[in-house]
Amino acid sequence: MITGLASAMAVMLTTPWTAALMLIGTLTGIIVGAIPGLSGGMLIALSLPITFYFHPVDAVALLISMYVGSVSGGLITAALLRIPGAPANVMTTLDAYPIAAGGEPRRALGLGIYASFVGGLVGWVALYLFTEPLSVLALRFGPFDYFALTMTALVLIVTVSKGTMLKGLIAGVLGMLVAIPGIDPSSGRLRLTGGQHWLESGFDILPVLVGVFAISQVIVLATRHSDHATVIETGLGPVFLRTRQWARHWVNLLRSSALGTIIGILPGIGASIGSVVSYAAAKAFSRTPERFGKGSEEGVIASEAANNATVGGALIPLIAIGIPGSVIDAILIGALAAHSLQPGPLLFTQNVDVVWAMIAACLIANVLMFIAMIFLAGPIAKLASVPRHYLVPIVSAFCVVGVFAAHNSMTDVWVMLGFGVLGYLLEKAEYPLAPFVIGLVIAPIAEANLRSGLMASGGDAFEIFRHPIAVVCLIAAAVMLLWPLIARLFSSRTFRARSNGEV
Amino acid sequence: MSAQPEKRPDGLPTLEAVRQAYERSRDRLLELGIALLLMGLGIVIAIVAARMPPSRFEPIGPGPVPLILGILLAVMSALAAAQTLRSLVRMPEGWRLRAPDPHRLVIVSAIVVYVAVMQWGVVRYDVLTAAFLLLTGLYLARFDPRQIVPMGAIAVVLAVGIQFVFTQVFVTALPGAY
Repeated sequence: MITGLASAMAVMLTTPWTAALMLIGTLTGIIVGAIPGLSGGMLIALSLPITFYFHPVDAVALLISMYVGSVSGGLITAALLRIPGAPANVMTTLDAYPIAAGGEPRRALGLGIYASFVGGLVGWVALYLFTEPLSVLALRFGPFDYFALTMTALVLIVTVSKGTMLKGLIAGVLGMLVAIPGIDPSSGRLRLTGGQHWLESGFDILPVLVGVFAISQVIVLATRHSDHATVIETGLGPVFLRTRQWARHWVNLLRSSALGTIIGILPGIGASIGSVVSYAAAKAFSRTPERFGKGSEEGVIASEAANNATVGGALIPLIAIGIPGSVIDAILIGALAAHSLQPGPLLFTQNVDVVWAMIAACLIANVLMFIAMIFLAGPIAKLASVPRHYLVPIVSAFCVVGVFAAHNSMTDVWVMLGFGVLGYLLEKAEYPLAPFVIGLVIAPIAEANLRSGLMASGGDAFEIFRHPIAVVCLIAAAVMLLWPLIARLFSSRTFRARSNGEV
Repeated sequence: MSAQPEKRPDGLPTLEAVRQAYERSRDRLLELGIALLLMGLGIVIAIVAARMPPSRFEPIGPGPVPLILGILLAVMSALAAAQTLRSLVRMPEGWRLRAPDPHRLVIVSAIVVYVAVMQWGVVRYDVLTAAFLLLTGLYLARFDPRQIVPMGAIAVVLAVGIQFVFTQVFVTALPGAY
């Protein structure tokens, strides 16, 4: 293990092109993460077409750096503008902004940056230690186990997505249906193409992702009324903290990082849930819970350590099993597929250089993020208030040229526009986009495994219940789906019992 | 949805409350429209999938998975439509819809025209992109004359830069006239 990591790091740090890509990726990630309205998913989807020209190692180095940077960048606007750059920074805003507004913006930023770095490192340690053993375990998974695992991942993200569970399920099923048109890989027959030749190879994942993440956000930005926000001045110097200023929170740092990592590992759940859970835990364990929401250092540390730890955690199921740990991981699966790489246990045997490059990139990007945030948080805060009349046209032009250049296809550009409008309408009608994207990515995996499982069992669908892993996954999925009903039943019984007792 | 708008001392609803109520009612209509559209899509997919011939080589052919997904989509969208319809019925009377914010329509139309002209192939890529960047930027800046020079400079540099990078570095032929 150590040899693979060391050689990957040596290659990445000594190859100027790869090192430069990582620096660019981390910086653009931080800037995009800091600009409200733009997201890491959007940046990574937009950058996918460019990575087609790169070696797979360079491609994953760039994309993972963007991932790490974008999760961290939201801290800047959360602390200085009271606007979370991303949903994962909402909890940070509650405490970092009051500290900054109270005259200590550098302390607010510093606590968040140091916590992000520690969280990122803890997540990376888990990534380094657990990915290979999990991939060895995953080699024992049968097709039914994989099918059940993918379904559990979808149900999990449906249950934690914003909005109602019904809408989450609809979005997930719709995403799965988008993956269906084209040539059926098992029988070789065309299906759901409507006689359209351009649909025979199915919807390419890139225009769908760019449409759903970038074009839909362009439409949202175009309707946003406020152009400018007031930034709290931090000065342009580096944001250093003395060791005792942050190290005294070591218990909170480690607990939040561990929680973030575990939540990141769970398929489908991303940084926002990680930060909320860790924030709640920090408040529960705090000696001064009343300070939370009013400028608590513990709140900033819990939220930032956790959301950065989810990155390493979320990469574990992606690399080891091929199941996306978050929406950005779903996009990364698309990036690997574009390079003819199939994430999952076989990646360790067939493309071990890419696996170690991903793990090394996560560590290097965390270090780069720390340095960049320490020295550049002040100037980046000024960039974060870029007016929409610059953002909207520029992002639109990049979407069009990027999607076109991937396959030299104007059809892909129209597909992107169609899915952009669909993504906007779905969001406007409060359908979460995360299940849509996860459904799109896991549908081919789920269908292929279901069908090969049925082929192996001679068509006996009940064979799935003879596989313990599959049974555990299906029970977990059923409980998650039925939980709202069970909870309602319990609460109505409790209410009735209390009412009777009172009468 | 069914909450009454906040009222001023004279008993009339506040302007902000009325604006929010308008937007909520418009969003509910959009929700209903999308739910019905998805229901129709689910039914069509289920019908098409049901007609697919079974496979001779495996227990389930290409049809059952889209059939199940189509049925699920139709049923769940019908439930969502019913939920939305219930909340629409409970809307207070006398509220009328207003025209939606024009910005999004203008921006989507601008991108569609940009792509259509690009596909038509009568304008050079860099010229078309510079014009698109400048015009949409100025539109969003409410044609502020102070924005013409910075937006123009950004438009030209970006358009020429993108064309250079994609044609010279990535060796990709961009659409448009040459």
